[in-house]
Amino acid sequence: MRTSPRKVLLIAFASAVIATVAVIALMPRIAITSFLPYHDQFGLGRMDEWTAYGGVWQLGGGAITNASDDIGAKLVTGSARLKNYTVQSDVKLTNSFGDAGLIVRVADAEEGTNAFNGYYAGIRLPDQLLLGKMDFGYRPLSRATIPMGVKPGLWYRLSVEANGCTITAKATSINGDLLATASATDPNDQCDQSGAFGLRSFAAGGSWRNVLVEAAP
Amino acid sequence: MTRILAAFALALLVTTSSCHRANSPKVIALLTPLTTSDMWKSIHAGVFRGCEEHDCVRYWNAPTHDHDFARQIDLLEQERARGVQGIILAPTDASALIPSVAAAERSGIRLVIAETSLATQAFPDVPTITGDNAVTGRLGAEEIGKHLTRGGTVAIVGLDVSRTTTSLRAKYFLQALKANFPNVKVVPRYLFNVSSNSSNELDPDSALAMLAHADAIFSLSTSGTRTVLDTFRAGQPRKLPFIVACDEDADLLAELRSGRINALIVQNTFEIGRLAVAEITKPHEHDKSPRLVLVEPKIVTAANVDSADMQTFLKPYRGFDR
Repeated sequence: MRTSPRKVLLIAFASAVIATVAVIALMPRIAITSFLPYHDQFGLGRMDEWTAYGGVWQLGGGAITNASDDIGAKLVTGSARLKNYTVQSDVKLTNSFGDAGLIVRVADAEEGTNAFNGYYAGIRLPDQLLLGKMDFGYRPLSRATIPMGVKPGLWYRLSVEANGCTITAKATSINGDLLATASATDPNDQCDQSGAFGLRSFAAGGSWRNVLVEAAP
Repeated sequence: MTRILAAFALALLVTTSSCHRANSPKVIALLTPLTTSDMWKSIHAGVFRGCEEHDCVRYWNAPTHDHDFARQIDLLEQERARGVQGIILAPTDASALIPSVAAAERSGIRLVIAETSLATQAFPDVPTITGDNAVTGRLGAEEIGKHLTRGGTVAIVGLDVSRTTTSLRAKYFLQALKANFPNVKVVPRYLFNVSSNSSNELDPDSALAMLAHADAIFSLSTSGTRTVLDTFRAGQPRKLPFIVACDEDADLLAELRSGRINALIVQNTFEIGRLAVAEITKPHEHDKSPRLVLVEPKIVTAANVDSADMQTFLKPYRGFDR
């Protein structure tokens, strides 16, 4: 039986449509499994995969530093389809005002103080661990006191776990001593379910190193 | 076969495009000079409330540095291009934003100027909703006049040439002082220019010398008030003048409680934000409202700052912060 050229074209078109639909359907799994675990390459002088929203970002000494005092500078990477995961990083404030930390489940990021959807956890002078929801505004969810205080120039290890609608931030010393925990469950109908991750500073310079992202247990 | 495939492709196209349009809410953009001061947090809370009342969604953004009008122009252009239903603009600079406002007006987007007016009245169809600067000036004059019953001197500080509100407040303050308290004299007007980094026209010693000789100070802006307090903190004069200041933030409220400031005149920026949303969302054919809407401020003193009513007025954020 001979197939007409027109029929071949139609079959090719139908195959292309089916293949496109299949790729779109499988993309979340491909993206997630290929991205985690993630470790930064700041020590190798690389930050190609990061997108800056404000700030003046410089690599050096195995860390990345925002040298600006922008009120809300961000550096973002990762898939928008990431769901349950933990971001961990060493964080250091480089001047004596403001706060710096990590953002999770980031969506719709733009340049601007509160310009994204997601969650933010940061250390703030003189002694605070902050946790808040960002929706182009900032809603504090929880905070905790760091008894030894937050000192500029000192490294802290900060982690943020996003698991379901519960977000948990922990600050430890570089030696691993737990300093403070702040946790909150966002009501389900307002919970941001997925998004990328990143670094953020607020009216302060900051440094980050050893950024590690893993699937939540 | 061809028809089936064509119908399938068309259905796919329609489904994909309708996903973006179905139930898409009306977006109103609020563009403020910053997001961090209490004034901007309050106007945001008002816009948020307004959107609850008028079934819209707010988008809020601002420059990340004070006086960054170039970034606010970018944001205005961005939201215009994005096709939001309307834009509420609290201009960073009364003059620099004018060309962008003109372009937005020509494009037909609904625009409201909020909190401080532009330096021109060339846009009669663009509504402006601000605090009542005449009432602000009068309240300031009355508060100082009541304190200086036997007469005295008052210095006016905190002029910000990028904000029309400050010059209007000064004008109405002088009018009310002259009419009602003629024995209170204005000492040479020391008007800090707070719109640039080279903030003070005088060195700190000269500033202290001038301010310390005044019996009272009327400050037109939060930046001016902070400069005055910093000047006195550094110079440690024997006696502080009676200070009445316009606008508030958390630090200035703390200074009020500690007695270093005697009164704050606080704008109802929550109501300004709420009214701005109502203005944008009302149907065009019913749009007969006045183009300038003035909202009355309140005077806050140590005696009323912690009352329940005043706390609701001062902190209407409803879960939002900074």
